[in-house]
Amino acid sequence: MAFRMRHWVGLALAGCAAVALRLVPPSETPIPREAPPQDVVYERTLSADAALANARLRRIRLAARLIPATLADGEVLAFGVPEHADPVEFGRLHSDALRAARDARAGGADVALGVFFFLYGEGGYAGAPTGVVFDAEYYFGEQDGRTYCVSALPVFRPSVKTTVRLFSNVDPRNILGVCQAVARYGLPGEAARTWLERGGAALASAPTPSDPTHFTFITRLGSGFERRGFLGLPALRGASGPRTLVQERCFAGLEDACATLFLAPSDEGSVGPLYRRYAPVGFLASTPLSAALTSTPLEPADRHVLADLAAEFGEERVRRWWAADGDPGAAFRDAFGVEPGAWYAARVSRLVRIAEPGPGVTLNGIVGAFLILTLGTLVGSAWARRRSVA
Amino acid sequence: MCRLTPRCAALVLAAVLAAPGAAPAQQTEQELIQHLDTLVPLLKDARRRASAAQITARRARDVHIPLDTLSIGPLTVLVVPGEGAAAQDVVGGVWERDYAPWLDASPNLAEDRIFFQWSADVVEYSSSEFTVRVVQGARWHTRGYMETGVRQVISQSLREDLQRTPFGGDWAVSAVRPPDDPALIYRQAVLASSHSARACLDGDPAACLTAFGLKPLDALLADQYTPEERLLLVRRNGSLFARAPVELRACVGGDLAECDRLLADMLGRYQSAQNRLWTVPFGADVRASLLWYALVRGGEGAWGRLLAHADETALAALEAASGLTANTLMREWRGWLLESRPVRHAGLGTQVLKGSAWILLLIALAARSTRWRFA
Repeated sequence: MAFRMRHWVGLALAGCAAVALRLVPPSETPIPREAPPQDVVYERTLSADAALANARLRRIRLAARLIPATLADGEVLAFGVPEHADPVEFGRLHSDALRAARDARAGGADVALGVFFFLYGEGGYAGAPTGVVFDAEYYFGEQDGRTYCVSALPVFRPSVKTTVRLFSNVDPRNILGVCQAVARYGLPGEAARTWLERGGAALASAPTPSDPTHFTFITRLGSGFERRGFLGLPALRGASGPRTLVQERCFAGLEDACATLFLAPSDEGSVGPLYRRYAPVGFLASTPLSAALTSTPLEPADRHVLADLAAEFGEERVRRWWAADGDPGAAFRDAFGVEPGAWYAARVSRLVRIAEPGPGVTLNGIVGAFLILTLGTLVGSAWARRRSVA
Repeated sequence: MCRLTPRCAALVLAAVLAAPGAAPAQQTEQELIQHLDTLVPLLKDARRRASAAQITARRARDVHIPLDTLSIGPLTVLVVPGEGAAAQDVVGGVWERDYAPWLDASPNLAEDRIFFQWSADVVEYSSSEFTVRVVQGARWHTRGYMETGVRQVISQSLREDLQRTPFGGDWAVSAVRPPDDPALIYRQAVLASSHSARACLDGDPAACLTAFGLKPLDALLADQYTPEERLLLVRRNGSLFARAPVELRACVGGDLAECDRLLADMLGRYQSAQNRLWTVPFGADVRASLLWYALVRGGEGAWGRLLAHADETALAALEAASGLTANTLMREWRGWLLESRPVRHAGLGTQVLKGSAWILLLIALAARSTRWRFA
């Protein structure tokens, strides 16, 4: 029996119905996962608590050692490394740090500066887990009438037999990090301090403005910010892993989301619980830690944000914002005369290709739809030719 | 909810201790030490009990099915009743041909079990008492497929012998088994973008040692690659340098000094050779072919000698296993490699045959009268 058109249509509909029966409505039952034994849950809970307490203890001990050492040093910069450090690297980094400190102090406030490399886990409680370690930690404040700022950088020693390599995750050119801003503008006021605590430290960690014609004005996440994939279907992952809702909205040009990314990059609402657990916020109130270097989605360009503000609006306005009290967003508006979300959105638009917000069809979707229409036309023509021959 | 048992009480205590609000905003050093004085002994005990609980949970997942046990050399093979003959034939064949001449004793091979199944009904088997290496195939799989599976699982056990030794860490190989396709090894060796690799293939044994990364680490990269080759090395492994995009862009743009700085920075972070293996011109498969050659050449007791010297340098271990000096080993391996040179270009013969078959099939279909034709 020859298949007629209605048979084919019937077959296609039956196929669609079979797929629909299988998939619609989508199952809400989670994939069953075996619960870990009770003893394992108990051990994990204890371990997390011990790690948190140990991380706090290490920061208290680190501050108690490094802050007095910085204040006692009469030189441009107090510089310290762990025992058995590689002498060649010591010399190179010391001279880099001295140069950065001289640049930062030129015309700036009288601030005692310190850069110290320390070993992961140093100062910890024996037998307790190390807990979270940041790429760089900053301790600033006032003691005995003097302002200080210490940049503490963790390094790893693979074996007790080897020398300590002074390789941290911080660019040697930005070794002072936030401390270069403290040296330049003095201790931050309430607004800037809040901003630094919420992750702004990463945005204030490079002393030089970015060069739009050069490579500093690029992003580590690449340029794959297209919001939709093939045939206009939602793209679930970006070029380098999932993006948060706030990142998606900011990259789509929405200013309120860009304000969140700019003013609170490390505690924006849609960041996953894993990242929140490693946010510095948990240590800022309970230890002498003032700020910590964390990742942002638009590195390394993001590292130059404060320097770019100074280049665009002038040092004086940055100084005004830096010393302001109150809410960081309002202080930004007062100092620069522009909404923080609008300014950052314009900057982001130069970094990433902005996708249209809301539902939309991408180029991929248009091409895919065109291909399907072409295929349908060809099949239809073939069918019509066959009918005329028959 | 848990019932009122000591374990439950401990869990509740832990939850109370670990509650986010439990830590006041400003704890002093002394308070934190007191807190940890309480937690750390509890944690040690909890770790012991968690480990025991995990073992119990694994045991509960064990599959219990009737199995026969075969001994083939040092191998212990588990089979479903009725499949003993096939296992004896396949596993025994691989053992006698590829491993028996040089493999005397292997701690992991003696402890592990091979679960062999070559039948229509494939079952799952696992055990918490020992490591089960599974070789499974449906009835329609070829004997070659099953033999490859046997070599793979033996290789896994042997590689575990080398784990935690400097040899296994600093000079890791992809497998301890005969190369599936020696021509592929030849191609990988000749395509290595390093002048030391080319000098090795031209017959210089010292260059072979460099290309295999068997010389001391100091200045090895400069011996292995010219500045232009180092640029290529960075470009091919660009994702490793994602944290330094500025320098990476400068390097791939042709700044050779920046490439050297990038490599020095990357390699300087890691002192162990294991983390530098990606820079070795001869990759893991080529290194595996050298290890295989050394073992076969060494003959009886070669594996034992290799393990006995695995704590020394990789070169010393290879010399001990093969019973040859470094230069002789390199010369002989080069001879073997050149013999493996494929006589055809990139398997052209097979491809031409496959292509022709498809063309003929399509011509035959096109020539056939059908109502599906457009015209």
